[in-house]
Amino acid sequence: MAFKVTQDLKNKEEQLIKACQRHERLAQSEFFRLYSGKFLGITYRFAGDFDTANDLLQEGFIKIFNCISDYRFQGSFEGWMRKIIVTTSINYIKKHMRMQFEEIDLNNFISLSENPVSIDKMNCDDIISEINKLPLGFRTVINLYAIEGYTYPEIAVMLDIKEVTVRSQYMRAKQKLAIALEKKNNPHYEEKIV
Amino acid sequence: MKKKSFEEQLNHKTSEFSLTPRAGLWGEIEPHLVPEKRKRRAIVFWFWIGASAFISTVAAYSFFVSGTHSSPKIAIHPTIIPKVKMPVSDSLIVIQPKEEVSAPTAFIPTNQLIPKSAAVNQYKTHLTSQSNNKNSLSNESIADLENFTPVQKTETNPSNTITVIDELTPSEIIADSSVIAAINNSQDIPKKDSVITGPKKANSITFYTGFSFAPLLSHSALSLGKQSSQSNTNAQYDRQYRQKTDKSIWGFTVGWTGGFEKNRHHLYTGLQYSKMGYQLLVKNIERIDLVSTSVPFVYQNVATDSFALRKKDDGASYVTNSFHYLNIPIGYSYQLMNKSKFSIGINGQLSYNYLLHSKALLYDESSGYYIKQNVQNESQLSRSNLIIGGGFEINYNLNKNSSLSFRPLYHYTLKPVETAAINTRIHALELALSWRWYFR
Repeated sequence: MAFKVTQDLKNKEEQLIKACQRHERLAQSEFFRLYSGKFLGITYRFAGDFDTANDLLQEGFIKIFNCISDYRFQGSFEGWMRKIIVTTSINYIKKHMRMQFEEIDLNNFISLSENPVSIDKMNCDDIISEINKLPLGFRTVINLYAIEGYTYPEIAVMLDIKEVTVRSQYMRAKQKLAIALEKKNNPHYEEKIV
Repeated sequence: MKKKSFEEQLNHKTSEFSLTPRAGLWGEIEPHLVPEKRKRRAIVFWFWIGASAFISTVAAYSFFVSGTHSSPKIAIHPTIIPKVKMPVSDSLIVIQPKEEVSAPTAFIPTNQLIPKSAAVNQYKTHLTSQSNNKNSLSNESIADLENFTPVQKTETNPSNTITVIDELTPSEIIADSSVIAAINNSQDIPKKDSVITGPKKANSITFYTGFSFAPLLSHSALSLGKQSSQSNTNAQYDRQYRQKTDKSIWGFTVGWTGGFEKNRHHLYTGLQYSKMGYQLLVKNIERIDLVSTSVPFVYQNVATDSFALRKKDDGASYVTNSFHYLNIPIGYSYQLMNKSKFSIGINGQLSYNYLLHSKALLYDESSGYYIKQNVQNESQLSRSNLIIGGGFEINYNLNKNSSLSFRPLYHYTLKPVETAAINTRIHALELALSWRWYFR
């Protein structure tokens, strides 16, 4: 039964995609209704402010609908769209925002990963708010690596920087975010490391 | 239980984070989207069907309705005839129209009515007497007269009764100098030029139907597509590679053609079957999806357009993409030179092409066999296309009712036949040979 329901949903999505490939407005607005909230969440995480996030969402959806005939039904459609939204956001950041990466010596760096902060019980809005408080470079690598699941080499290509820079930036960003989240979790927390 | 890593926790908590977009955002997106495809296609399709049907209907009407009778055509305008003081003569009066007329008319002024047979004989005698004249009729024209059956019509005017023999053949008529002089000496007669004005040939339209066959040599024309804008640097490389290695292939166009001619103008349409395409060389078979989107990914049983795969010993492979179209051309040609036996003109054509084939030859990776499979909707082929073409036309009249035409045309598809990182258009040389049968 569960299989049949999943199959029906898949067929419905396939029909919607095909309708979008014929550029049918009704199907496009249905897709917008289904995914705009989630994708706005992505652009907001990258842009850091609501207005820019909406502009990026607009640009991303225009690209999605105008390039939808390139989708070949290989892999998840949501994943395909998500990739376009992320690429749109990164292109915007590279073009309009000043992203700086300072060199960090990893030999002198003590990772927090041995005792990771527990954020399972934290509110999603609080986490996003702490991510948005990070400097642009840190925020971008955290979003790409930890949340979107891109690899270091992929991020290096996307941001036009060295892989080792991505790695060091992420370590530092992760540490900074972990401390911020820990502080949010526990107001009496004192920074002991580094 | 294993403790989740920082990344896993972060991903779990934030990947589904969502917000409500600002009001009216969809309204801002909509104007930037491509117009709905189906409607646009339908408009083009029905325009073509309509134009083609119009030409065909007019041709059919001409053949089945208009062609069954002929109305008399008078070379001299009826309002002028009453002023003519026609001399009494026992010879046939023949007037050469200043302009070409569709059905030249001979006048027999008569108080002495001439029987039909006598009229024909007199006309023949007249032609024979003129045989040494440089304006005389050709032998062929005289031969035509043997089959001539005049239609007599009597019209009354204040001064004379004249008999009009309608639709005299052949088309050239020699002027009788004595008649012209008589007309010129009369005060009541307008000048010769105006008197002689008859229905122009320009008003006559000749319809034809026929068959056309054309060998067609086609090649690919490449440009970077939409995907290339998304940092697909491979596309640029692949385009350059294909520009060097793509080859032409032979195809054909065959089918019905029909249209009409009016003076030097010629408008035609048709319903034809076309096969065209191009051949591309793929060094690494796994990269074929990048160079030809009609073959998505690595032959994963995904349907595509019709193509044939041929492996070479050196590991490189040729892929022949063949597109089979239903083709409705609408063309116009203008005759630059128009002789009795042949004419030469320039020609322009716009065709609506609808992709026909539903089967594709595919290479099945698992079995290693070529298989036939239906083309799926996800195939990135343009279902319909417009093809623009230009060239020239040579038409040779076999006899009064039929001709052979040779029409070399250079074609170019206005829209890519397949779209992706590399857009592929087709340009082709068509050497059309057609046989036409005229409804005269």
